[in-house]
Amino acid sequence: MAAPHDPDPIEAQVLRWFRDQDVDHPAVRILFEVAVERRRARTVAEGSSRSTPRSGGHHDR
Amino acid sequence: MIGSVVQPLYDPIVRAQLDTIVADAPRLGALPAAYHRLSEVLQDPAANAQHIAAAVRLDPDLTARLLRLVNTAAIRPPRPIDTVSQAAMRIGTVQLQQLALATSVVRMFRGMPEHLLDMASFWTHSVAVGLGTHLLGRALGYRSTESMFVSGLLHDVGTLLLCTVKPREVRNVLIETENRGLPHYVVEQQILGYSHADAGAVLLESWNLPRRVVDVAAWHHRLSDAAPPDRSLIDLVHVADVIATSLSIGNGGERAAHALDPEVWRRTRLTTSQLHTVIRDLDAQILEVVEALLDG
Repeated sequence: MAAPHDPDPIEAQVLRWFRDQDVDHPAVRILFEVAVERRRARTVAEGSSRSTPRSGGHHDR
Repeated sequence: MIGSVVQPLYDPIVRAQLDTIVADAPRLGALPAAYHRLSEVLQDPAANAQHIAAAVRLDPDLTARLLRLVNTAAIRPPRPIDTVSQAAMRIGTVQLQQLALATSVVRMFRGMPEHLLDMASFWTHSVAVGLGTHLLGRALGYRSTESMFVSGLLHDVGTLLLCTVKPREVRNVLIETENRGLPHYVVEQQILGYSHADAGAVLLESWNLPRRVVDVAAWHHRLSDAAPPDRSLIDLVHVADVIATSLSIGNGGERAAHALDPEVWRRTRLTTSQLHTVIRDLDAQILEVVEALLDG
């Protein structure tokens, strides 16, 4: 189990994709939150369809 | 022909290189005859429905794709549109011409080798930027949004041109982009001396497309430089590009989301509420538009 202060792995993945972005900007914050939400949903969907979740690329929806 | 806006971006040697690249892609040398025939008819005030039908009759693929496109949710006709001449009356000749241009350009690159670039992913990104630009324009209350879709759709077309003519160099750019962690247009500039934006602008200019469409391709990575007089369209394409890359809708060759230029965001006067709406509408419409343009 992750320690309380470990970064959320999904958020960490999206943050790497947003490496050039200022996530404190209100518009970027919205995009970041939507991207995290989608990645989380995709991870859940992948987890339910296979026993070992794939680390998804960023290249496609 | 050298445009007044594109020319100052290049020194004569780079310009000559870019002209050679365009000349080295003969199959991209001109837009299809059916597009030109249709454009001429649509611009002729004396043309009637028969003229419009005759212009595209010999190109059933273009006709079929156009009809599919004009019936998507992005256009939202109250009743289905069955013929191209009907489309001209219902959605307007300018918008129909823009959609014919979009369809024609996508077809020109069909069958391109995909070892450097996943074409479906590339066009999905491009459609997202085109549709996103159109939706942003609509959210801001712009009256004329006809050229917005095409301007966004074609902003990265130089990437396809470079993949076609300079595959070895593009491969090096991709490797170095990965190694250095820099945006790929920066690496292109460093390795090639020009970027896909420059190549795309020269290609679009060679097709005699409207200056605003050429300007978007030329300037979409030079937002802080001196810009053409009307940069509102370039600003909207930038925001749409940031939305598409941030949400990973397709991929135009990037290894990270494009950074939003806060000055551009301020200039557009977009609100976060409008951004939410555009994201929602983009989600609702993109698949249908991608399928209409790419299927088959």
